[in-house]
Amino acid sequence: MPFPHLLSYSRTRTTSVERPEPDTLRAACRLQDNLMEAEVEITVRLPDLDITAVQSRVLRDERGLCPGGLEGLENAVGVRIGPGMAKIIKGLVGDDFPCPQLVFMVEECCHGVILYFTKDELRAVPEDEDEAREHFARMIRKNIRLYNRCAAFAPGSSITEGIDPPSPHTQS
Amino acid sequence: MDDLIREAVRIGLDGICLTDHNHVWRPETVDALRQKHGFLVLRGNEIITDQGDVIVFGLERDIQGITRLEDLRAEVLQAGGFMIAAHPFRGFLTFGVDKLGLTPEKAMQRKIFQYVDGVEILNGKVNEEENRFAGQVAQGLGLVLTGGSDAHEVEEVGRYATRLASPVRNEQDLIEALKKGQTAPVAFRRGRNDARTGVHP
Amino acid sequence: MMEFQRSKRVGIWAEGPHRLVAHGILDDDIYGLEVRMVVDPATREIRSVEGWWNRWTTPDCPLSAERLQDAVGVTIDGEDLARRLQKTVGRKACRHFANILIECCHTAREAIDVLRYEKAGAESPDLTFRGFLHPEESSAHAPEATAAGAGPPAFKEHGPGETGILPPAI
Repeated sequence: MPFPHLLSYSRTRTTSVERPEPDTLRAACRLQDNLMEAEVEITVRLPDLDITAVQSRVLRDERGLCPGGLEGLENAVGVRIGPGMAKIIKGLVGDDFPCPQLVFMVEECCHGVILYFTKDELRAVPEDEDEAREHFARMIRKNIRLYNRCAAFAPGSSITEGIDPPSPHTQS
Repeated sequence: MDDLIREAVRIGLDGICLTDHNHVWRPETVDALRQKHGFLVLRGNEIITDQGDVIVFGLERDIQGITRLEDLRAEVLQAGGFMIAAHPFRGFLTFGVDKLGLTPEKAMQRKIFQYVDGVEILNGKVNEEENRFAGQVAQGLGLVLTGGSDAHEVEEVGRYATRLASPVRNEQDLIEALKKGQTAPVAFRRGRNDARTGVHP
Repeated sequence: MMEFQRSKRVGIWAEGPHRLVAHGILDDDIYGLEVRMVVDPATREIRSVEGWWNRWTTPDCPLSAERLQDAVGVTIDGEDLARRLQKTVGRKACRHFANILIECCHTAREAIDVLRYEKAGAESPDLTFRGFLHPEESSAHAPEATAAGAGPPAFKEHGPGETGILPPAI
């Protein structure tokens, strides 16, 4: 009988973003779990945020879905990070690409890039809670697509108080 | 669809364009709608390319999945159609294009603008800053300017529209009018008294 | 220099034959949050979810931890799992909670495969994981795997009546 609190499975995924040049970002996603170990790295050019290079390395793959030298991931080169990118990347890499995990890791790299800019934006948020609330309310007023995007920006939250809801699909 | 057309008639539009994502309306379906409502209904298509969404007029093929922009351009040229970059600067939720250091001059170099005939500079689903930026880029490049409400709900119809200089009776007329470039994107619901001939893609 | 980093860690353990627990941690330069999710390995449905914040951004972010219940009842390998969780949990609660829940679901389904393989392997010591996944490629092992009631991990083949996938707890 196995000891019940032993982990049956564990996964660690790390995504990191560097800015080696003022107009270049490099994002890397590393995955390690019981079945797979892999790395994906993308290079992104500013200010357009277009992907200029994609590299991947599979170090271990117990499922056998991701053999070395897979072609297809490089089709993501040229895609601009932004709304709709996941669909575009999946579509360009192709439904028959055998290793969906690597495609997902490209997407994770893209999200890392977005979060990098978000982090920079958040430096401007005031420490005082009321002032922070007003800061986020201004952010919603400026970009109404944020309205009802999450619990914090939903009707009834203290942040959206006094903000008129947009028409239903302006949020999509 | 009937409600949407009734609303378009009610607010004073002269016609609407159905530009569903990767879907080609059947001509007979749209003809039937025209007959039923006595109102101009035109067909278009919003196609997802590797460089973003593109509204296309004059292409009959039902394109699915993601298309390379160059391939779409070749096909549209062959068909004598017209391509419009849809909401080209629809951006991120938490930061604007200014954060990236993107200027209109730099944005003009984007590949998409080498392959389209026009740019949607008023889109109902993006914010004012993003529309304004699209306008600066399109005007800088001398591309045809259009407006569209991108309506998914009845109450969104006609938020923005495109005023055309010449009368439009069918899709061919629309393409010719667009190619002449005599277009004016308008905020129709807000200023409809001076935009009675608006057609929104 | 590193400008941004996000780490996600998911650990899966079995609490008896009918409860698989996933504990997920998302920790990055902006957010820190955790979820604990229970999956029924027979139905492959999420039975319960709880989540909590360690670090957040807006004053109202903590509200989202109470709005994760749309995930309950979701099948961990449904075709539109990610889209569904993003549309429900992501919109009503927080997309970062949706993100770590999706990671937990993906990890849980792999954990079920591994546990089923281990169960089959106990009866067929020579069975390799790949042989278990692709019995057609190693026909020598396929009958034993089938006889063990484990079979290959065809995600959608599990009926609600299938039990005993996981080893029993002590």
